[in-house]
Amino acid sequence: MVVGFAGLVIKAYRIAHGLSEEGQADVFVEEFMKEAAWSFPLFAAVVLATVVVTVRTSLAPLKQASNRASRIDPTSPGVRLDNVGVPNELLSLVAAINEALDRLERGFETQRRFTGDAAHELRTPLAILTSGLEAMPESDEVRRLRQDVMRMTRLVEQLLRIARLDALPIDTRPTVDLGEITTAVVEQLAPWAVGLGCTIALEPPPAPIVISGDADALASAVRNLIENAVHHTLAGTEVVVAVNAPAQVRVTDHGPGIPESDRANVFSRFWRAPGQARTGAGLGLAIVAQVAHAHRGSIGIEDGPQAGANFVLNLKPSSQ
Amino acid sequence: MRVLVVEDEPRMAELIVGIIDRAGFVADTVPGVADADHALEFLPYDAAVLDLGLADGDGLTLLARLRARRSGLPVLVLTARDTLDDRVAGLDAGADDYLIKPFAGAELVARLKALLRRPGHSLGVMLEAGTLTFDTIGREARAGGTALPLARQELAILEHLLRRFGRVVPKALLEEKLYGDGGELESNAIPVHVHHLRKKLFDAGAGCTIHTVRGVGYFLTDGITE
Repeated sequence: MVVGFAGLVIKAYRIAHGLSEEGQADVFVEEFMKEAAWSFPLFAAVVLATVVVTVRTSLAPLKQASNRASRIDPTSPGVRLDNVGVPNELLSLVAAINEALDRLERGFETQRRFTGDAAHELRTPLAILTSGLEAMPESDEVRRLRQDVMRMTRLVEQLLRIARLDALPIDTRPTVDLGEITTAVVEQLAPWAVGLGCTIALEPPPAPIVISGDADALASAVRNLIENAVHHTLAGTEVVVAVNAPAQVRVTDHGPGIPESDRANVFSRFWRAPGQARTGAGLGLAIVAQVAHAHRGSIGIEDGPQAGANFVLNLKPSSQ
Repeated sequence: MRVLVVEDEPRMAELIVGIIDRAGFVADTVPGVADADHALEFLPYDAAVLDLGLADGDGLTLLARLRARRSGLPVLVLTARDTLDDRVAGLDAGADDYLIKPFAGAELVARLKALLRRPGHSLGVMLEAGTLTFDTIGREARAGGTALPLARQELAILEHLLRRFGRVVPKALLEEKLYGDGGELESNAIPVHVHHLRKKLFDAGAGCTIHTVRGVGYFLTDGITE
């Protein structure tokens, strides 16, 4: 092959410098086609492969950066694109994107801090309102106002909880007992539920259910599930809170239940079933969903043996 | 009975004083750490209600100083800070109880009374609910002035319910208090006593009700339901 090429090169040289006889050019072309044409596809393949490899390797850092970018969401605003190994031509793009992310993070941070501070600052005036109304002589109007203040108090608590869930990553490493957490919440809420005309019952697990999680956040998830059930169950009925192995909390009420068409929506913030009486701001179940998500668990609605909503919070058993 | 209220929001302070006043105690209010130090030095208070975020310092530092002086003054922390960490910090600093704003006046009074009833503290030995009075020394309960014929276990259960009035008393706690840890105990022993107690309270017109929280325990409220 090499000899063939060398011969062709010498012949081409002689033709170009007029050292060869007339008519030799046609013969040369013919000879060239015969000797070397086969090498063209090979040559093209080698070039193509080189191009692919070069582009791939030089753009690998960019692919990494885009992987990173796809992980950025409001819960992880601190993530920035890596500029190590990024081609010079793209460095300014990466830097500009990172600066934009900085500005967004500051915006988020300001908003979160504001929500948290606002909810916090509202507590003292709410306490003043609550105590002031308690000191007033009983009347229907005063009773109604007390209800209003209670509703507002709950809303402020939920806003504070949501702001906190947004602002601080939940530490799910501590070991907690799901049964213990749920029992404490039921203890706290039972007198309140009786005041509203229904009861809460607990079906505790036979053995402790130990999982990794944030006790405060889990308690607020369970609390919001139970509060939601108490608000929707019919007067005089029982809300049943069952803690089951491996790591489940099931809250069943005797209310109207959740229509299939609403089930995807109930966990969204501020969502409320159309035409439904205003029992809350629509934050409770969103809190439950957020806490479940942070613990890599799930919250869902199942059909129970009887009418009524049947919420199931599944968490990761500690062995996993 | 004299209670010091450390609270820098004037309207809040006024209302807390009102609540404590209506409960039959005397309350003084000071707006900050320095004034509180001063007041505690000169007057023999029986308890303090302490706000944490004060204008001239943190209530927790006041509490820590108090405990460093080996003062056993019962302190109820009343605050807008509610995370578990805050609560743990408050209790670590020596708070006897922790109540989060906004709160119900009855809750504040109940907790204050509970602190004052602790051994060595000032409040008397009578517990009350509805028309019911309970003498914790004489071990006797009366409804509307008439003595109630209660068995020993019934008296014990009633006392626990009264001490945590309006709050749930776990059944497990009652079992432990009444029968100790190792004893053989029939699973329905407590429910049977509660059943009898409930009937006796109702028949005597005690004006209070024992509610069951199935799977958890019991609590006592004013008024008659069921």
